[in-house]
Amino acid sequence: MKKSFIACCLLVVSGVLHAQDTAVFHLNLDAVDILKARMEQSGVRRDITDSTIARLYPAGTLTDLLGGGGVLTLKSYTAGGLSTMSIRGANSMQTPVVWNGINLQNTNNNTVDLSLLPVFLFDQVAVQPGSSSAAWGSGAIGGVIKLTSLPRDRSSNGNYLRNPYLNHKVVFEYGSFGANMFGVKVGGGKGQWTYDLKLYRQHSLNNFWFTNTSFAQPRRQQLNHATMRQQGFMTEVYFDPKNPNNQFVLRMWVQETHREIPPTMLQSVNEATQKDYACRIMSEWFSFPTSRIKINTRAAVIHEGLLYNPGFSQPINNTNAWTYIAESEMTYDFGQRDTKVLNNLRLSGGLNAMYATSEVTESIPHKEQLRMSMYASIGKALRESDEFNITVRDEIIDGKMIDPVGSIWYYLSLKKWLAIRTCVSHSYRVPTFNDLYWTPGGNPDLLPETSWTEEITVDVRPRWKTGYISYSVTAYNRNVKDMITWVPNAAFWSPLNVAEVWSRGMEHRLKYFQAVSRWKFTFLANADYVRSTYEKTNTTNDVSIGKQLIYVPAWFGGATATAQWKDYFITYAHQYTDLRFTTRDHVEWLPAYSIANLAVGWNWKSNLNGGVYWMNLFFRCNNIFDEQYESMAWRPMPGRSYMIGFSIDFSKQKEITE
Amino acid sequence: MRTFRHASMAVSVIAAFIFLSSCSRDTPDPTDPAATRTFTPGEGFFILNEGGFGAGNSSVSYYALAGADAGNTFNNLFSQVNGTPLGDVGQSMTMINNRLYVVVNNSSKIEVLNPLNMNAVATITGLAGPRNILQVNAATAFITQMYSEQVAILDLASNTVTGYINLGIGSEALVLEQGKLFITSQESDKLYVLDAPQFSSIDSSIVIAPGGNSMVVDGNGKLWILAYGYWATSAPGGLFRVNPASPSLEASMPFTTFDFPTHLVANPAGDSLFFLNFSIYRMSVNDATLPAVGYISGVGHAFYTIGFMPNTSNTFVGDAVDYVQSGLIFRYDAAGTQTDVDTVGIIPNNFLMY
Repeated sequence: MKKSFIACCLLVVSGVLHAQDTAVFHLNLDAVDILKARMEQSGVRRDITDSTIARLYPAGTLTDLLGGGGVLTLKSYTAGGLSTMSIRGANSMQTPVVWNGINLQNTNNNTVDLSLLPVFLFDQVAVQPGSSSAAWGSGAIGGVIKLTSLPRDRSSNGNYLRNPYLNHKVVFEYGSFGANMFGVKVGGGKGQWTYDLKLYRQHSLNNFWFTNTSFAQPRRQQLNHATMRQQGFMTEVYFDPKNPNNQFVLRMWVQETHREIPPTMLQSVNEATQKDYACRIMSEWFSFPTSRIKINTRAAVIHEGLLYNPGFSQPINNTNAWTYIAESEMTYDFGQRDTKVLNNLRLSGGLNAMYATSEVTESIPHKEQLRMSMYASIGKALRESDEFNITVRDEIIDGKMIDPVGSIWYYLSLKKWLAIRTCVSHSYRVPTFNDLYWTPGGNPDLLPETSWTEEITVDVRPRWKTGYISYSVTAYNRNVKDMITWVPNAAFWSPLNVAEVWSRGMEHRLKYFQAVSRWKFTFLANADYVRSTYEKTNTTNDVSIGKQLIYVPAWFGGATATAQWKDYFITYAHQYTDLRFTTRDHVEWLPAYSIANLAVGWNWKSNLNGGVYWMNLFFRCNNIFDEQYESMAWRPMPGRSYMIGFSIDFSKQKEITE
Repeated sequence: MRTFRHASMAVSVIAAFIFLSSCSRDTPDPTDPAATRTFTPGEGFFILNEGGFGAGNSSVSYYALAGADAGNTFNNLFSQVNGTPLGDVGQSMTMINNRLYVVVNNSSKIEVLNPLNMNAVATITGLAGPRNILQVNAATAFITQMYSEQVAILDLASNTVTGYINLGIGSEALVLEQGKLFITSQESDKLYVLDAPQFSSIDSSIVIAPGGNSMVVDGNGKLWILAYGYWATSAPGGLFRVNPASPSLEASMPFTTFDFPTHLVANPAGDSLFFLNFSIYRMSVNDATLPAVGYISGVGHAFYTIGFMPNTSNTFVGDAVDYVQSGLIFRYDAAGTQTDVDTVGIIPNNFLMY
């Protein structure tokens, strides 16, 4: 069945090939491309958030950006509450969120709460579905979300900048249910130094009205005890030594979030509160000793804390975790050579060391873990537009070596407008501290989860004078073995490597742009079909075998249409989430729902005082049809709401075009 | 023209892939037939299905022992009759004055039902994590609460809370025996004793073990208490026998720190005790030590409750399977041989003969 599925996709692909060459692979690596050696695998698709969506959430969180744009399936415990993602049926523990190369996954539960990540802090948000543990290490089974700061010595056009420069920004959103979000960035550079400082704050009462369907006669209620407030800052400092082949970067990100946990529709009251704290410091050193050698060395210290107070005088749960990371990677580029084997060959390798400690009140005594991994990669451009890469990685955890993982990918450009990417990868996810050490029940003998993924993507990108289409379709197949599942085991629940999950599906990504006179039309659409089923469990009398995983919709997608006339725009976004089962035997489910958002706005650019001003003003109506829906059972989501916001960006810099 | 041709080819490719993606998906399983029936006393028993914490899928089922539907199970009775979900975490159920009191812990309420037809007649609110309810006299019942240091006093005529007993700690199981009220707490290692007639305050306490979760009175009038211990301090649980007349501790049988015993029940004759500790264990009320071997092995199961039906020698056991799908009830004969299995709601945790 699995082989037939893949063969079918390949047959269709082979039926529509045309011959046209184009160059899409750049051999001259620089500060950006050094990251490409690991961060950007051409063999898998990468979805970068479109600007027509990003400008509607300048001060929002990743939940707003990725959920509102219909990019990812999210599980949200109400507005402002815990929000995690699911890519291709994988759970959030199997999808790392990487900040400039540093994995933000919590060592305790391997989960990143997207509602805690302000969009304002990052220059680029990209979703890379597919297994990529060879590149990213443990956890990258479902995909990777990348949060990136673009290099400060480059403009958005890729041209070099020269100090002095100024770049200031203010973002603001205000709307329904007491929501207000504010961010300010101060940035500049002089001589060899470049810096920016971002401060942000968001607050929301989340006291929306909803229909409580738990009563025989559904009644309107207002959500209570749902306030969320967050504040923090991020600073980045770049230093370019007099030796032009080096650059140093220091980043520091501190934030604190307070949340009241609202009652479900079946509860009359909830006193629980949660406080999340994070301090993340990282440094990077880029070095280019020769034109062929690039070195990137990185170090980070991450301190995270979580204080959960269940209320009702129950004991408070305190989680305290420290992570120390050091890694270095080097790339040697042979460039153009007479020898066929060495021609356009690129070798990369890296070492990573991570030391983590954690403790959880009454549940995990102080525990430590040392992990060391190394990877090696060979890449080669076979023709001007084709590339393949082989990467292998292995890791030693507290002295135990795990089975090596790897990936092979191939990028084939058939035409200027047609390309194919294929990838086969073997990935893994190590058990969390909760899995290993939770008292009672933790299992220190757990093995990592492992997976094999095969995928193929066809990119179709025809362009014409006034527009273009960018369309990708991906077919994938993934098998996860030794999946960690908590099961009743003698006296307590314990995690065991017992489950096997088979995920397969197709993903469509479409962007259509057309300019007509002074009008610009942009249409974005994505549609995901996910079939993700349990194939093996440890449970007798289990009827879930072969059934769709809970909370994984078979269909998910969205479409966004934007019309822009001069500086004015209107955007309509529609998102569909299919039925989701909430029990493994499928006797209970949440119905499918559609959410539509509408926004109007104004973009303005002006050259003043030797600099450039960008202003974006918008009004957004979320859930315009006031759909009453639940992302998680019995947890109400907001109906129709409104948001107004703006962003002002001022930059003054000298640009050197090459 | 060339542009149009390229665009047309692109659209054709896109359409082909979209067509290929028109794949099937699972459809919901059919629900149980509507519970438009009456329940004749003496013909079966109710099963309370706890549901997942926070999932809001607790429910009530019924298993027919006799009559035209003998051997059949009926599920989702509360929601199908009353048109509303039961709530979050069905904790326990008790028959008082021909009314079925269903304690729904995480919804902080008790649903009062007519057992003949499962119609809801009252909802008791204003509670803080209720756990168990016990009738103490013709007009009054007590409700233990895990999120309150008080035991709630319920007026059975109006089904409203009219007062509280200040216990100073969250409460769990309660038994009335020989004019004394015995209460356990999951937070302490004591058995609290309150004297009649007011039961207004703690008169004495007996040290047992942390985690007192269930109690029964045997055929000899002795009170048995089961505690699962406290893993954080490595304090083991135990099975304790108390003479309610004194009241004093008569026997103490400790478990190991790796045990987690729960759901202590007595058979209808009162001469045997059963409890869960992964497997199901059975012992005589005259035994002085804990049984070493399980009566029914828990391997391949997630046993969650035990029950007995009067006038039968059958044991009924609830199996939660994986806690995220419909549970099962197994019927065992006197020899411990399985004779029937039926599907019920999520996490069956309580049986009540009717």
